[in-house]
Amino acid sequence: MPIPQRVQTGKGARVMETHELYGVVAVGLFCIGLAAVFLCRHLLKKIIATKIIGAGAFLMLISIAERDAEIIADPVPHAMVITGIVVAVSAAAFALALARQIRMKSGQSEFGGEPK
Amino acid sequence: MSVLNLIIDTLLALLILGLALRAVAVQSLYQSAISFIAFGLMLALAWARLAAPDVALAEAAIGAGLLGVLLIHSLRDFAGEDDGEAAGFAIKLGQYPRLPSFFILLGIGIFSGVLLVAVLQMPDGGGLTAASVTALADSGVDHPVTAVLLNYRSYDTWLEIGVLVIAMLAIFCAGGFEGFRRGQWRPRQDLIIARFARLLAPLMVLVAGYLLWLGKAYPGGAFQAGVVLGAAGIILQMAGWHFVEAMSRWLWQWGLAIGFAFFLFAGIGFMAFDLAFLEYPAAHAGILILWVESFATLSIGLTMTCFYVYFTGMDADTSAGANGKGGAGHGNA
Repeated sequence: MPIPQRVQTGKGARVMETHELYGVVAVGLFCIGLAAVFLCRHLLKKIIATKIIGAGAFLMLISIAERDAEIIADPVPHAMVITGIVVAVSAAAFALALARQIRMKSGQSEFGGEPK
Repeated sequence: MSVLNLIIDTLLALLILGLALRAVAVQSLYQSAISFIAFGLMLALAWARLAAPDVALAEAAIGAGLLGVLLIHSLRDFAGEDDGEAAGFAIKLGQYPRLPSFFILLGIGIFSGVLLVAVLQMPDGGGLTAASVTALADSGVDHPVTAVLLNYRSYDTWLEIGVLVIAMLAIFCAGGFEGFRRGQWRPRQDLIIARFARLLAPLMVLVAGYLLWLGKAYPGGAFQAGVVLGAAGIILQMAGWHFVEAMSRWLWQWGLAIGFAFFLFAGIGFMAFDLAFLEYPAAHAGILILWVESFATLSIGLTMTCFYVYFTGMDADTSAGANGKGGAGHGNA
C-alpha cells in the first residue's frame, strides 16, 4: 500500500512546530481578509478579501490535520479543503459575475463612499 | 523540526502574509490581482510543506491559474472612471452607514488576539487518521484522501459537486446566456497562441486522465483532474477553438450536470440491493468510484471552462455591441 512513511523528527528542543506556525499564519490571513472586507471599497478588492478569509480557514484545517498526523496526515480535513477550494472558486466566479453586472448597470464599482 | 525547515517555513509564512496584505492594501487593481495570484502559488507551497500534496495540486491550478484568469478579465470591466448615474439605476450613496476605520481595526485587533489564543490552546482532538486508515481496506481505493472523498463522506462530495452546478446556474441568472451564442468557431491566426494550444491542450487532457487514474492510490483524483481539464478547455477557448459554444446547448448543459447526476444515480441505484444511500457494494467499490470520479471530472472541467466562457463571452459582447455598456441588450437573454 503506497502510504508514505513519515520521517519522525526528534522532539528535542521545543521550537515552534510547523503546524503551529501555519496556524498563526491562518489567524493572520483571516484577520487581514476580515479587515479588508470592511475597509476596502472596491468590489473586486472585497472579493479578493473574501478569498483571503477562505484561505485562512483552509490553512487552519490543514494545520490541524498535520497536528493530528500519525503515520499520515489526517485525510478528512484534506478532503474537505480540496472540495472547499473548488467550491470557493465557483462562489468567487459568481461574485465576479455579480460585480460585473453592478458595474454595467450602475457604472459604479464601489458601495458607499463620499457623495460626488 | 530542524532549523533549516524552520527558516523555510518562516520565510514562506512571511511571504504569504505579506502578499495577502499587499493584495488588499495596494492602490492599483492590477497589482492587487497579480499579488493575489502570487499569494495562491505561495499557498500551494504551504500545502506541500504541510504534507497535503492533494490540496497543493488543486490550489496551484485554481488559485494561480483559473482565478487569476477570471480576475484579470474582470479588471477590463472595471477599467476607466466610474460614470455615476449613467445607466438605469445608481447605487444610492449614503445609504450604507460606515463605521470609522479606527473602530473596525480595533475590533479586528481584539478578535485576532482572541483567535490567536484559541488556536494556540486548541485541545488535542486526536483526529480521524486512525479510523480512516483502518477502514481503507473496505473502501475500494488505496489513497486515504480519495477514500474520504468518495466513500466515507461521499454525501458531502456529492453535494459539493451540486454546489458547482448551482454556482453555474446563479451565474446564468446574473448575466444570462449571452456569452454562449452559437456558431463562434473561429481559430485564431495568431501563431504563438495557436501553436501553444495545439501543443499543450492534448497534453493537459492526458495529465487530467492520469491524475484521475492516480487518485486510486496516490495524491490526485477527480477534483485535481477536473481542474486540469478545465485549464485545457480554457486554453482551447483562448486559442479560438470555441468548443463550448460549438456544442448544442443541451449537450453542455448535460455536461455540467452529469457529475452530480451520475453520483446520485449510483447512490440511489444500489438502494435496490438493500444498501444505504450512496453506499457501494464492497466488491465493486473501486470501479464504481472510478466511474463516479470520471463523470465528476468531466463536469468540474466543463464548469471551470464555462466560467471562463461566460466572462470572455460578455467581453466580446461589450466590445462588439454598438450601444456600449448599459445598453438594452444586457441582462436579459
